[in-house]
Amino acid sequence: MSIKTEEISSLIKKQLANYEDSISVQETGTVTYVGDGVARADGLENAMAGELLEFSNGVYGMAQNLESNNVGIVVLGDFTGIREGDTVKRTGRIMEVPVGDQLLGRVVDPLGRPLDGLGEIKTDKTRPIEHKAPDVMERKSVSVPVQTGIKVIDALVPIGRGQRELIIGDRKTGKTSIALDTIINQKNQNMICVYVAIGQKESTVKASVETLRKYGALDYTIVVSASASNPAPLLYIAPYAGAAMGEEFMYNGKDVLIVYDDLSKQADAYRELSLILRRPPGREAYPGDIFYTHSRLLERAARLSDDLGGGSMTALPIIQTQAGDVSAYIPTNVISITDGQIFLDADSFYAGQRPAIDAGTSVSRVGGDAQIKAMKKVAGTLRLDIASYNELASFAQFGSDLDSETQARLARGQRTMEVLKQGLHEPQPVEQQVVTLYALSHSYLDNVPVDDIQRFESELANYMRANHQDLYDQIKSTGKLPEGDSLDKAISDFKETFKTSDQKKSEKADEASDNSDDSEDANN
Amino acid sequence: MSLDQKTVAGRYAKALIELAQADDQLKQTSQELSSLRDVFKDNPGLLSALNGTSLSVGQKKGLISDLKQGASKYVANLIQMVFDYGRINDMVAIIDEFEKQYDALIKRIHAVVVTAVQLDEKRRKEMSEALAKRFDAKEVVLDEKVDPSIIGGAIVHVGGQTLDGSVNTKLQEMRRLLVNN
Repeated sequence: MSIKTEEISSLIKKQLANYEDSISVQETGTVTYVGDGVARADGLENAMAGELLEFSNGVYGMAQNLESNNVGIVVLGDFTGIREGDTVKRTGRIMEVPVGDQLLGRVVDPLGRPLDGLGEIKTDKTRPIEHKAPDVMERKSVSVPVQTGIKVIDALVPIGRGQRELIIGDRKTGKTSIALDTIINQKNQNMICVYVAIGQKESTVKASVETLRKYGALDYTIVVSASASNPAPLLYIAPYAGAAMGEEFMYNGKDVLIVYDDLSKQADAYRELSLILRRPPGREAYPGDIFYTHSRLLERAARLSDDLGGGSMTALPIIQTQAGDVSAYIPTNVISITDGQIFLDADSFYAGQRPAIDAGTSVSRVGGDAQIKAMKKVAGTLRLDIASYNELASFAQFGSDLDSETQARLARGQRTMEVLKQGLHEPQPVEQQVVTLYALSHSYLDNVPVDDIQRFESELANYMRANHQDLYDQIKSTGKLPEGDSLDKAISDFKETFKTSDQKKSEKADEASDNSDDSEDANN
Repeated sequence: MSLDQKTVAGRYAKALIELAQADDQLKQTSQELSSLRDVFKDNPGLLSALNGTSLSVGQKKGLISDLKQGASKYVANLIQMVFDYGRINDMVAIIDEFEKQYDALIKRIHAVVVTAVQLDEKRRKEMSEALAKRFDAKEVVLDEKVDPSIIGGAIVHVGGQTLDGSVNTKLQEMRRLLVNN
């Protein structure tokens, strides 16, 4: 085979078509200080706030402080290779990340570089990480639900598409689990998910990714990870990068769910770099613009108007509290920005009530409009039941002589709490939740022993799927409870066949005695 | 909060320039200051000696009066004042800043030119003229450096700007285009 010179040279010519033989003119500055993820540079008089700058060793930085004599730069990468006296040049660009379908199923860092070893991500589009949130006229009110698959959330604190619902609680109370379960439940719900892990251990991120992969949720999810070993600037920009990736889908008319896990770590990272940049510290040593840091991020979650395609971005920010203190600076800030919060209580978590959602303090300010009618009907009295149960339970501990009404309410309360328990990574479809809660609110569970409630629930679901799939389909498609008494009939039919543990035990004992009789007979 | 060197230098330089301008002694002051800077550069120990504690005040005063020898009134006063105020460490920065402001005043530029081979007289003149035109300057002071690794062409640093027309950079750029496509 001979080398075809002409073919090759025409190829090269084509590739070099964009090359222009011109002198590059660049504005440069000199590094005067470097350390702790931050550099200062002389010169660069025309640098813009937030502009991307390139150091002579190829590391990028972002201009943060523009002062009279120097520019404060946060270094997005390894700062140990930068020396005093190095040159920094302007790029004229604002920080951008790659966006698009190619990112789905991938694990990337906040600059959009792959971390999962699955090769280069070939996207043809980028978006600036800072982007103005949609304004009033570009929005629409929230009306379509996000089904989290978690009974207590879907019933008590419903979340709508385009809402911002805070998940808040102490460490190890199941915050991340709620977020991951919600992502897992978005399968076949026409939702794209972005999971932004900020300041977490690499092993934790790996475990979360594997969980998503195991449940087939990674196919529609982008994981953005800035782990604890990354320098503070990367932790700081991670949520903005994730939001930019989500926005691309939102502006294309799709529904997006984004989880920021967690924003307290991002606030800590921002505090760190602000202090090194010598910005004045405020309350709890956070800089003055820490509120804006979170508000401009969460404002980017929206339900777009029909003119803009009607896409949405639902944000689930996570905040970690210290010893249940929601009145600390960052928790109060984010509570005031979001449209409600899911409060996780350490005490009930350790008491076995999982998910440990505190029904009293958890609210959703807009989600009610997004709840389906059937759910609204069956969940209507739930909050009240729980509140009166909690009140009575603390009294009931003292005395044993209770009137029958109080006892009935206590019994209902115990069963309600039992129904609201749910296993890890076991999201349930909304129709199943509705039937379970229907059975609860229509007193079908009142004479089922508390220990048997969960078995009753799962067997009811199996029975319904086997014999009354039409009712499930009806609830799912119309969003309303079935007309007439078909649902009541189905549940009471099931209850006829249901055996409590005690009944089973006594049956077993009978059987055993029967068997022994038989064997005696055989011997004779 | 203490002021940083650049702010301090800017203030001293501005005052000196205004004073010298009023008295029409700018050119002479500028020349004296650059030779003063050469003195500091040629004797690296001088600054630390004036700044440190190894010499007594009397000895330091002696050094200062040596420095002032032959200097015009303004420059001599500047040296004395900067020393008295304990800012002798900022002296070089003050001179740099003075030069910068003086350059802006008389439309002069300082350009660092990096080439692969030594410039000859003709090229030097062409370069000066081209730079003068580009930066709208009346006078161009070239600081020539030779660096064979740039292969050909030239790199010019003027103030905060870099004009890169070197063959090396162009080759890198072509390489980037070919590899990325």
